[in-house]
Amino acid sequence: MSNPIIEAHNVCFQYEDAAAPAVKDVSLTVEAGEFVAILGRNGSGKSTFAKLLNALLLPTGGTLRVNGLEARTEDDCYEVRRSCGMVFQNPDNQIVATIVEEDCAFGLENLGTPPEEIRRRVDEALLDVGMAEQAGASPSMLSGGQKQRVAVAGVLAMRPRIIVFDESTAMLDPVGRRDVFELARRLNREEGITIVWITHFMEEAALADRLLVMDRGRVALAGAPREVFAQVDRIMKLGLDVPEMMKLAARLRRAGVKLPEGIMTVDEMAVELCRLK
Amino acid sequence: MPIEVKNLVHVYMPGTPFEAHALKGVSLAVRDGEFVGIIGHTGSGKSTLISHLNGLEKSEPGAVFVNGMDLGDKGADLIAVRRAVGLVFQYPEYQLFEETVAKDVAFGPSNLKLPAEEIERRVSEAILRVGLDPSVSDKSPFELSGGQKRRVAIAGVLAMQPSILILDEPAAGLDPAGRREMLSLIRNIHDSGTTVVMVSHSMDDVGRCCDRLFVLNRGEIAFSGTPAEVFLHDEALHGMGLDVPECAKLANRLRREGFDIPEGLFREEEVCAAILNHLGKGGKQPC
Repeated sequence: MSNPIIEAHNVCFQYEDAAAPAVKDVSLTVEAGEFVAILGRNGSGKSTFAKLLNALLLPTGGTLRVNGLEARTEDDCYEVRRSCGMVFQNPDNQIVATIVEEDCAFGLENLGTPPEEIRRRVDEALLDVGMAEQAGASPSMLSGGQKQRVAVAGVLAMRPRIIVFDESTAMLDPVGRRDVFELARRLNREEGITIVWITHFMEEAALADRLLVMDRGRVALAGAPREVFAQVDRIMKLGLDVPEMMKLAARLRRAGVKLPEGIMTVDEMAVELCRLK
Repeated sequence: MPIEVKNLVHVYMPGTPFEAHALKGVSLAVRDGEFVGIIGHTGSGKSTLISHLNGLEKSEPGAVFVNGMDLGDKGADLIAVRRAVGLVFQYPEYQLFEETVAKDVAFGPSNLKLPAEEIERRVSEAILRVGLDPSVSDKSPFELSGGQKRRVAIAGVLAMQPSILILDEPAAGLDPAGRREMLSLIRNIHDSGTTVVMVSHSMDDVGRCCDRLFVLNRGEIAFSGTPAEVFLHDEALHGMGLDVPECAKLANRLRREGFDIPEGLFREEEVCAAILNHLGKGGKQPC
């Protein structure tokens, strides 16, 4: 049964003094519990759209309902932000406190949550992201991936239904990247949190339930990752990339090798080729 | 030899509870005109190593040589070293500060007290070399896109006319097309005669660009050699938190499954040709 948690109808957003809108007529629905990835070049409107989801920006046209609520007043904005948390790109720009657990408690303190409740939720959140041992540490002693996990814990403590990750792995090394991505996948699978995952990494996007490709403020392509990435030429033209194995599969097919559509990973490719051997 | 490192050791905060051995006896040499890649995950010692290469970190005598000069020597002319070795930090666009692009690029050469015409010449040349339109010169660098800002920062380093260019993660955070453009820009700089050292997490990027790779792990060099040689160690690299390019992974995997695929292939077109060859379709159509 359909249970939309994000409903966008012709959403537009134009920055003041900008010649053109950053987001143009975006209409889409995200179901509760979905893991949706958004790809697009720098400047394609991905981050602007993310900020609209979180009511950091308000649409200049169209309607956007997040968790059933359309942000019209300041109070609505706070309500939207409570249900839709956000993790940004630069781990150093979103850590505000000098101790991990205090940073994690920041949002709840601002809501005037009782101290015992804060304690309970912060402990739970840090445990959830695997940072309980560092609760008393200084964030400056943490790696980039650990800092992002602390940022996720701060969001989790607010008990959101949606988390938007805006290129949260862009500044991390491969290990940190895998950790944060796996954390998001687990929160999605085990806790049913809806994830909007904005990224430049095709291999991450390939693992989403659904993939949206943005171009010049619009949704240019949407569908299951396999379907979207199958349009190799279109994707490359949009300034993006497709997983290596899809490119190799296309090349092999051109040379007459009979391979099924939708091969994305090394495993899948190896299995298919071994079948031909 | 532009760069020679001999048994370099670096300890952060020695004698404190935070004591950390960042480099534990690293030796390497970069030859004239080479394009070398340094790979390793966070904390492997990459950044410490490159800070030594232009004298930002003080080394012991006999450990680091640039163009034959011992940087640990008391009388070492570190200013000359920093002129010879251009260092582009991670996210260099955060270091832009001037009112206009031209002024920002001119900052380094102005400090060299060169004549005004020479500065102007170097600035316009550097802006062209990084593929920016000369019309951006009078714009504020803060009006530009992220990728353009990064080019401005690189132009500022090129205006110093270094013979060795070291870049720390130059493609980080760029979108795929931006990434491809940045790498082709660096390849062009290399092709015009500059020795290049590129630090990266991305095996795809170093595989595409570099003549030789050094893999750092916990302050030591774990592997070195051509990309083809290094990528053979896919499982060991995986254990160090590094990945080899997907096509190299596939080639290694198929070889283990009994495919007749020569060692050291990692480019898509090479791997494709080898697979076709094995399947007996080699002669049918060029890959």
